[in-house]
Amino acid sequence: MRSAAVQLDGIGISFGGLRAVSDVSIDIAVGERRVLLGPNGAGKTTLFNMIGGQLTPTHGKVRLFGEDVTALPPHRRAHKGLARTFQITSLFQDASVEENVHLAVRALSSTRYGMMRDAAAPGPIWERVRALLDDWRFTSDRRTRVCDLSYGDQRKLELAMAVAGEPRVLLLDEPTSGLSAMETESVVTLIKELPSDVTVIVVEHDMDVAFEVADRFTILQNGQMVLTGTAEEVRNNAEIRRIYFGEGE
Amino acid sequence: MITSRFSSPWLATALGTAGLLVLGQGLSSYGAGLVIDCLVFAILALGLNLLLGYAGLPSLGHAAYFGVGAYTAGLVYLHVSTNFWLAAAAAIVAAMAVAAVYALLALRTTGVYFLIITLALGQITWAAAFSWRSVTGGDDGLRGIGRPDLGLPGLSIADTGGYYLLVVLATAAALCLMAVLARSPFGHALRGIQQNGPRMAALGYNVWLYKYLAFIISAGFAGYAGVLFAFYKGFVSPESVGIVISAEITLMVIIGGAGTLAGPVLGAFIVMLLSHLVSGFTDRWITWLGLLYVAAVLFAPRGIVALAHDLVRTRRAS
Amino acid sequence: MSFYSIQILNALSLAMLLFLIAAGLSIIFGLMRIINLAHGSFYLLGGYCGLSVLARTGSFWLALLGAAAVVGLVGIVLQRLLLQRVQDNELGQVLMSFGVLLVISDFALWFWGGLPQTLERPEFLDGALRYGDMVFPKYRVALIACGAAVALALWLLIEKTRIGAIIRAGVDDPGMVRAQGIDIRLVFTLVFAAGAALAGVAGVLGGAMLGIYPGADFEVMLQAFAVVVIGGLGSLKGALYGSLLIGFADTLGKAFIPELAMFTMFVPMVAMLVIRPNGLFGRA
Repeated sequence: MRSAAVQLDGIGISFGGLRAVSDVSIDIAVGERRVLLGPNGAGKTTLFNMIGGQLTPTHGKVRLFGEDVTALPPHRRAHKGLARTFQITSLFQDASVEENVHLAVRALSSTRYGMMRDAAAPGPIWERVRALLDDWRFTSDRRTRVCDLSYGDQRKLELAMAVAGEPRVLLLDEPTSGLSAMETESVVTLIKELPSDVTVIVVEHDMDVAFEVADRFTILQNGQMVLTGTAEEVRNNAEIRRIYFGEGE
Repeated sequence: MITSRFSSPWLATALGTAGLLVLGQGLSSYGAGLVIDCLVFAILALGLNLLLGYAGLPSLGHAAYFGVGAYTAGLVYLHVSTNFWLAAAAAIVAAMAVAAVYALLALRTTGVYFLIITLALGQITWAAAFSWRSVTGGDDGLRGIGRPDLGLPGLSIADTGGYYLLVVLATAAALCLMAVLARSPFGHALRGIQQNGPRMAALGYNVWLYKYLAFIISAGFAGYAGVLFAFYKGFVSPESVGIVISAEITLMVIIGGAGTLAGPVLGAFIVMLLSHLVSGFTDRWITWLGLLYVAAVLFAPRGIVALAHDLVRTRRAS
Repeated sequence: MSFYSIQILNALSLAMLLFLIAAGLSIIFGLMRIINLAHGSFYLLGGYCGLSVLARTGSFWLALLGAAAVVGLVGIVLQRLLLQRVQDNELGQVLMSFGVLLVISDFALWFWGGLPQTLERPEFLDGALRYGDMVFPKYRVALIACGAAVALALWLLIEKTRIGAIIRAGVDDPGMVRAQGIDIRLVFTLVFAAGAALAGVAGVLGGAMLGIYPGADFEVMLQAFAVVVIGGLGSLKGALYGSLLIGFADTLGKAFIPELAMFTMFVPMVAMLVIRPNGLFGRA
């Protein structure tokens, strides 16, 4: 499908003898909000890592806007418009909030190799940094070190950095994990406020968040795709109810 | 990640330079020689700091580039031209060229393996210096290197006073260059890479390329130090390429404080002056040097500059 | 023919000597992830201690025992007091152990002097065995036999005993062993001491064959690291094959291409690190 933003074509990966993901084929349209669901160990993060480039599939192809990026390293995918967050906050702990955002904004700029200029000099990069911090409501001192931020603020910063480069495809890995109800709500709002031409793929465990954000779902189990469908289709599917909701009911 | 927020490196460099120049007026030939030694190693340590302190790559074979620079400078002087700038340029290029090759190999490894491979590459360079008698003079070393010609009328580095001036200015230049690099986007990216490489890659930085460039630039500084060393001593031996020097520079960076600007310079002075002082009192100065290594790791693993920062911070808080 | 037989014998005896040193280093490295540049110092100290014991008692066996005991003790002190404090800091371990290397090296220089010395072999190992025109110095043959015996004993220990199982598990998965509640710290210290003691014994055996001199600690350290890198971390089999490779490369290199002799060790090391950092049989 030429209109697919992200296309996974029979991808699979094995670690040693273990097949973590096998034969997954997904088409995600431009501007779609796709949520990946599945129990722990289903292979969601592995799948994410193959889209992001942190892992290379042993089988199959990954396509970004029709282009085969299967073997493309992560940094090159970023330049093609891909951005992601990580499950465990992987921010630069010792650096300040604005320094973190600065690194994110600078990443796609041609000045990132500059050796002679002053990185702190005012200019379009820092204007963008300021704008992002305003948009995401970082009202507290922007010079605060990340390690001194609350967990909720750290997750928010992670999201801000992911959108810093105005990505076309955004991968969110459990964006609301560990957040309070209020913080979760603000994250959901922020996701919904993203431009409509940005494709968003989310791994989520919180079912309420998932149903609020998603256009379509893909359910994984044991590294395989069980179902792709809309909210209705998922809710009405007996097998899904058994896998997902049945356990513990 | 220590960002020097309270002092301007330019001011500090200017003050330091002025101080050393004033000091130089009163120093004996021996004293001047000692300071020259310290400054040469300060440049070496600054270069290693780019790799170790900013990029987070612990190279144990850095003396290789120092030695290549020194040998190249000596060889150019002996066989090609007595012009200082030509010898210096050739030496820096040679050091960077060797690093360009070595880095291709070393960057395929990480962690402990990186440490070992850089050690091995350093030893290979040492073996080359030792075995290639026709070029390097083998374990007799390269001898008879005189003071080169600056090509500037009226200015001579033939005497210790003149050379002292050259080295002080050269060190100031190196510090300024390093300060510029440290606050550049390149420098910031390196520090980000040390903190979290995969994160930087996901953001869009070509992590390998940054490390590669850092490697080569840091070797350039080492070669630069090698030039000043060769023309000061008049003699280069395989010792200059060996692991003892590599370890010593690493110690200087660690004691002073990795990832800072002042740290490597401070560390160089501390280690060199202590060694000189102690060797004046006892034959067993190597034992004391060894103990210094152990003490540095146990008591000041982040270096003296970091300890000073902490002191200032706690004093401000109270 | 006799030239080749001598070279092979020399290579084998050097390999066995290297094995005694590298086996400990490999297991220590694989189990504790400690990079200890002072491992060569154990060799040096062992050789010199053996020299003193031999001079005082005239017994080669006491020299071996004395070396093992002293060096084992030094190893325990080094591991417990110093290296343990920099557990996950590789650069810290390197700098610290380098410092220890300097201290021990200087101490040896002060105590035993700077001239190369040789330990006296036991009388029954003087002389050589002859077959046709081939000459086999008895000492070297004994050293090879000894090395093989130690290799076998170590193999039995690692494969067939409970502590060996703990060591193997620790090399494969350090976290798991800690979780089992086994006092891993005691195992670490024992293994470290044993590795050091072996190197010390090697110092005596090597000292009788090649002499003991300032600088031997550096040389041995570099050779041992080359063996461990090539053979693979945490593997006894790797240490054996690595020793054989380096032993032969070094001996044949010196015999046939003396100008390039120094490279025969480091080039394979670099090649291995680039192609297969885990070494031939690495487990860690």
